[in-house]
Amino acid sequence: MEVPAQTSEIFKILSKGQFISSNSYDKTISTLYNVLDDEQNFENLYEYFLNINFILEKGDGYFYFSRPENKIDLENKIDTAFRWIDYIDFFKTFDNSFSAGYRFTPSEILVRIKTDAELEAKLESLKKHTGKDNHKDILDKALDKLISDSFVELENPITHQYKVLTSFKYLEQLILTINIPDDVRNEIPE
Amino acid sequence: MKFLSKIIFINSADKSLKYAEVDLDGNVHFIGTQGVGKSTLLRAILFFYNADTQKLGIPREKKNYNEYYFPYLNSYIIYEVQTETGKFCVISFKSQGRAAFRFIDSEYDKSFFIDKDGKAFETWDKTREALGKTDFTRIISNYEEYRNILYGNNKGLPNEFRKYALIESKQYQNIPRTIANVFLNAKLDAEFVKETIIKSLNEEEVKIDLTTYSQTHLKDFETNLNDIKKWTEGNIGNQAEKVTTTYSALRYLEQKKKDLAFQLGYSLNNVKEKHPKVQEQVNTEELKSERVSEKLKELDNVFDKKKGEIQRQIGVVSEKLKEISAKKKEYEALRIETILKRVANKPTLDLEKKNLSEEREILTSKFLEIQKRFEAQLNQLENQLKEFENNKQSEKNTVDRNFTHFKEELNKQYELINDEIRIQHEEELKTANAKVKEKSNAITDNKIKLSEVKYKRFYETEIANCKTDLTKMNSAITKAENEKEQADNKIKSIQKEWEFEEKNIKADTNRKIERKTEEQVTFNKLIVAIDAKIENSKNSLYGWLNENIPNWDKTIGKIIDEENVLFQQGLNPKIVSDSNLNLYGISIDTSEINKSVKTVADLQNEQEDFKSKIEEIKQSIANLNAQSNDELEKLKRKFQPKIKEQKEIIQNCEYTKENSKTKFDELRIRQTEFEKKAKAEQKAEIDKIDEIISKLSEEKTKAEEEVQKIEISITKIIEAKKKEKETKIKSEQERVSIVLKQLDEQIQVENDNVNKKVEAIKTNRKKELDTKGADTKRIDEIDLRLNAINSELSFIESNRDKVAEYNKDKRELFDKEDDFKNKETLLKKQLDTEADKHNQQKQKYIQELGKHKAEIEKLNQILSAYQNDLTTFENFTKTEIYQSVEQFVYSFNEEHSTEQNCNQLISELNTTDNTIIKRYVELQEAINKFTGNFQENNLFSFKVKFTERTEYFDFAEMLKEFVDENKILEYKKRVEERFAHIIRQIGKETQSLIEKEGEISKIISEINKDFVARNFVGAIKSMELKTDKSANSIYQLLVEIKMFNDENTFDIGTPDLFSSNGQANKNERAISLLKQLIKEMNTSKEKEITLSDSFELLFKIVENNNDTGWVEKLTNVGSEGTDILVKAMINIMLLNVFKERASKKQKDDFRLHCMLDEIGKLHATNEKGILKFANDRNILLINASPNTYNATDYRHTYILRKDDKNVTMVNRLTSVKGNAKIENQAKV
Repeated sequence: MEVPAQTSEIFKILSKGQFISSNSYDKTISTLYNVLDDEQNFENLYEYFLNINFILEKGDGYFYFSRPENKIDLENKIDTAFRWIDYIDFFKTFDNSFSAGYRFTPSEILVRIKTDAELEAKLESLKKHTGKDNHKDILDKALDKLISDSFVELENPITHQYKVLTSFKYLEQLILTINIPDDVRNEIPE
Repeated sequence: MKFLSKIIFINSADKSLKYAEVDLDGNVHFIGTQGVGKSTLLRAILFFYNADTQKLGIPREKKNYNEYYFPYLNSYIIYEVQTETGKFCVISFKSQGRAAFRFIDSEYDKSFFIDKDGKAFETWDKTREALGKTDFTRIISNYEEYRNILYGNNKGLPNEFRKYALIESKQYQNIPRTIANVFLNAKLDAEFVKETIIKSLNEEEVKIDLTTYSQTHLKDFETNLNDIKKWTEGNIGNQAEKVTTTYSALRYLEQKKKDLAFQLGYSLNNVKEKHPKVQEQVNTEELKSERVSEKLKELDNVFDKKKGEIQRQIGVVSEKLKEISAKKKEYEALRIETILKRVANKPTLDLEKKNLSEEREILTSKFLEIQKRFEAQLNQLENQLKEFENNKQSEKNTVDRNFTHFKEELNKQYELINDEIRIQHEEELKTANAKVKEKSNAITDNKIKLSEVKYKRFYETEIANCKTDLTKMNSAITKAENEKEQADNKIKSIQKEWEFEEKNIKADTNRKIERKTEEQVTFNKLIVAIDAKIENSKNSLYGWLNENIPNWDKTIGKIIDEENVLFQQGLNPKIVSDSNLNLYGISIDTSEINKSVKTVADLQNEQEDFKSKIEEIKQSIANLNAQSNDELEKLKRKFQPKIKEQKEIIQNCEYTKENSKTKFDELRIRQTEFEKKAKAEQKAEIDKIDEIISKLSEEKTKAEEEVQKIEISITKIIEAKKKEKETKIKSEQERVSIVLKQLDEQIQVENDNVNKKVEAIKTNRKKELDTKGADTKRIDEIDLRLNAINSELSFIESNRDKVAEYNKDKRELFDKEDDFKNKETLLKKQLDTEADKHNQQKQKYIQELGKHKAEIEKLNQILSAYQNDLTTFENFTKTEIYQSVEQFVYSFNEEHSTEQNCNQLISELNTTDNTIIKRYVELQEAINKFTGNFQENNLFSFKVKFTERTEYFDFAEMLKEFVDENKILEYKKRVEERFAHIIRQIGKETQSLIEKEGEISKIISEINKDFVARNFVGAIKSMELKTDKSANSIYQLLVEIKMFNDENTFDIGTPDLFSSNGQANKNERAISLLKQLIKEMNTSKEKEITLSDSFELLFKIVENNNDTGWVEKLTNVGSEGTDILVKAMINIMLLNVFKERASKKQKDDFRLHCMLDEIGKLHATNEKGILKFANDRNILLINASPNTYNATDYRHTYILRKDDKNVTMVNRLTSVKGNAKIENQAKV
């Protein structure tokens, strides 16, 4: 089985739980994406990583690893998912079109917070995940988290412009797959 | 010949050198023990050349140059330079802590610096005074500037400095370095050698500026390439399409929303207008319906009355019939016929009785007295009987009366009982009757409902709406199709027009170009012809004439045939000695002939003219082409928007069509559904009502049965009571009749008694009469007969009433029985007819009522729909959507008429608005996704960040245009052209580098030859330089690109650089080359590629048997001496190379100095050799060593000594100028 030369780089990124997105500013990432996007490469790498218990998954414009989970991990996962839901809730409140390819600067969000009480409340609610008090700190922390998990990247360090990566769809997908049965729906306080 | 001729030290060298003047106008040798300052002197000379305090070989731990050489303010080192015209001085001194320079346009004069007492001036002011009018410059503290002045790099220098130049070179930098290298015995670096050679080649440095490529030309190459690739390879097209389609949909929806708002306005207005009308209609219909139901009630009432009347009449008739049958029975029981017969005999009997009575009168008249007596007796008896009878009769009467009374009483009693029974059952009956009535009413109601249902059109509005919508959709589809077709046709015609105009322009241009080309060909021919003429002119008569006959063009030239004779070769013209100017013996005055012969210059001029004309033609062809291109572009600009417009229409139409089709199908299905539903519902309702009716009928029958049952039971009870009564009456009657019988019997008995007595009397009378002679027999007979007649008559009398009664009955009843029967039948029939009639009428009314009710219901539905519309609208006004469309709602016109109601429109508006929001989000997502592929500064200048709605829309609009006009092609073309241009540019620049390589190789081979020829060191077997292929990866790449460019000069750029046809490989190669170049440029950080990068220089030195091999750096060659020697040789060589090149360009020759310290390391022969080696190349050597062995080889030999005050003294030991001469240096 021929694996591409970039296999170790791919593994290094994906094994950290990060994503390889198609619209990354980072040339290496976009190169890796192109490598993975090749069908033959993907098949080979899928087989290759499967041997070490990593499942190479392909999303709409992004790649990631998944692993069979056991129960305890699953609970942690759910905790993480809660956090992501809060984050997404916040950013989607900021702009409904906050999705792959969207560009923003933290200052825009901070300016908006001053006029949007709902957004402010949602940001405040992120305190529990970030452990910060100051709005800017909370936001920065949240963005750091998004960056470290490669959902967002700093495109322009001068203007502090961030770009949402295609991997963000993974989070959206995550939320869409949450199924709330009707009887439970009624129990959720508005 | 310019050269440094003298150096003067004043208060220098760490206070140890008070004053020294050293001539440098030849080879100079410094001798002296260690530490007297030989190297100090050499360094000071070196400083003149390189003006770099760092590169003088002063160890770090020692005092630096400034401190060491200029301990005082009035410490000076003065360099005197000899030029062709005179001398100038360079003064170096300390200014602001470091060495600085001034130039003085004068030869050195001690008095400039030193006063009469032999002391140096304290300040510059005094020197200035001393200089007087002598020209001197400002302080030059910048070493670079100093070197520029000295080496004549005049660029940017003030004119006043020009005269102080030693040489004139812009690339002098290697001279001071080489000199320093010789002095410092630095290692030999091929790089440096290379530089020196290269700089000697050309004043202008040949280089490829990589920064221009990396920063400008190729800056965004990869991004641009990737951006374009995204279009050509990736699915970005789909994403763009998604953006445009979403945007189209959105725009359509916005329009639709607007239309809907208009329609809503129209519909609302419609509702407001129609609402009161419909209300009125409802009222009218209700009134009508009320009237009909009143009529129905009236009809019922009338019918009921009629029915009652008829039924009553029937009752009367049947009563009569009953009576008849009862009476008939009665009379039959009485044997009325016999009675009638007997009564009919009455007159006969009366007559008979009269006759018999008269007869008896006659017979008895004679015996009257007897008669009377007996008569009295009889009367008495009769009276007795009568009395008795009367008594009994009264008794009977009493009984009868009692009976009658009893009967009456009983009747009364039973009537009461019956009444009671009736009262008892009345309620029951009433309930039962009420039930019947109720049921029948219910049936009527249901029948009304049934007809209502039958007349009601189910889902009428829905179906009608569907139908209108269907028609609308159909027309919309047709309209869209028509429009599309029109647009298609328009596009076609526009394209045709375009093509036509394009063709015209092209044909026109081609025609013009052809004409020009023809002209060009003609001119070319002419040029060739002239060429031939000129070529031939040397060997032809023309050439000969030019050479041999002066002014031939005025004489023979005028009559000679140009083509056949003048330029014909091989005519062997000769001058015939005959001096007569004649022509084959004929003389003509040629001045009269108006003809001029063209000279070669004329021809050449003509040719030049033609050439310039050809150039003009070429220019005009190019102009024509450009013009045609311009016009084509104009056409494109003219037609493309038109096509775009039509395309947009087509797109819109297609969207509408698709939408309408889907809707049409939907509506069709809905309509069928509604129809089915309507039918089913109607049927169900009818069935239901039918069922109800049948159930009600059944119930009615049951109720009727119940009524009957009750009635029967009442009758039964009454009947029972009647029977009971009758039994009672009967028993009473029987008792009464028994009593009466007894009484009758008593009467009979009495009668019998009386009769016996009468008989006895009568017998006695008879006897008496008989005895007296009377016809008793006859009297008896008469009496018997009379008796019989009398009884008969009494019978008749008793029955006379009965008969009368019978007759009356007969007359009144029996005779009319048939009548009664007929009448009953008639009445029954009448009842039936009436009932039928009534039913018919009722049915009519019921239907009418049903219709009205249906109408009312319909109208009510409409009303409630209107009401609903108004409420919905009221609610709608509170929504946000309303605010966005309010202006449209109130500005509708007739165009916006619609069949849809407000409710539908509002819900559609809401749906549309929702869809708009959804689509907008989709658009945002699509745009973000799309732009996510590009960087901020992408090739297409796509905006990547959007905040406002309009920004998204503008972007979508722009993208649509971008896609529609296929601008990607233009970008591609542009990028292709740009990169083709870059490749060409690289090719060109690399070419110029490569060209220089040849020159360099030449120089190197010269150097090599020189080495071989002039090698004076025995140990050095061979010394060689060579160029090698450059190891510089960028250069290699550049060469590859250049080669690629050479191979594909006409292929790249113009065709599609990114196409996938046969060109692909080449293009890919070009791209990959450029990519590699970018990569290399990024990694190497080199700013430029100079000539020195284009090749490697290698040394190879064979010393005895030590072969260094080809090396880039030469550190040690053999022992120290050899090493110094070799390096010095190479350096001198290099200086020479440079010098030669430099001196070629300038008139003035110049000399340089090289300093060699510790020359004692070399063998005297080699010392001599190197001196010769240098001097042959016009380079002077300044050496230093403790001793001198061959002082004659030097122009000057100086000995340095220190006195007891540690002051260095420099004394000239020898000076060779024909003879050696010792001059004592004045001690300062």
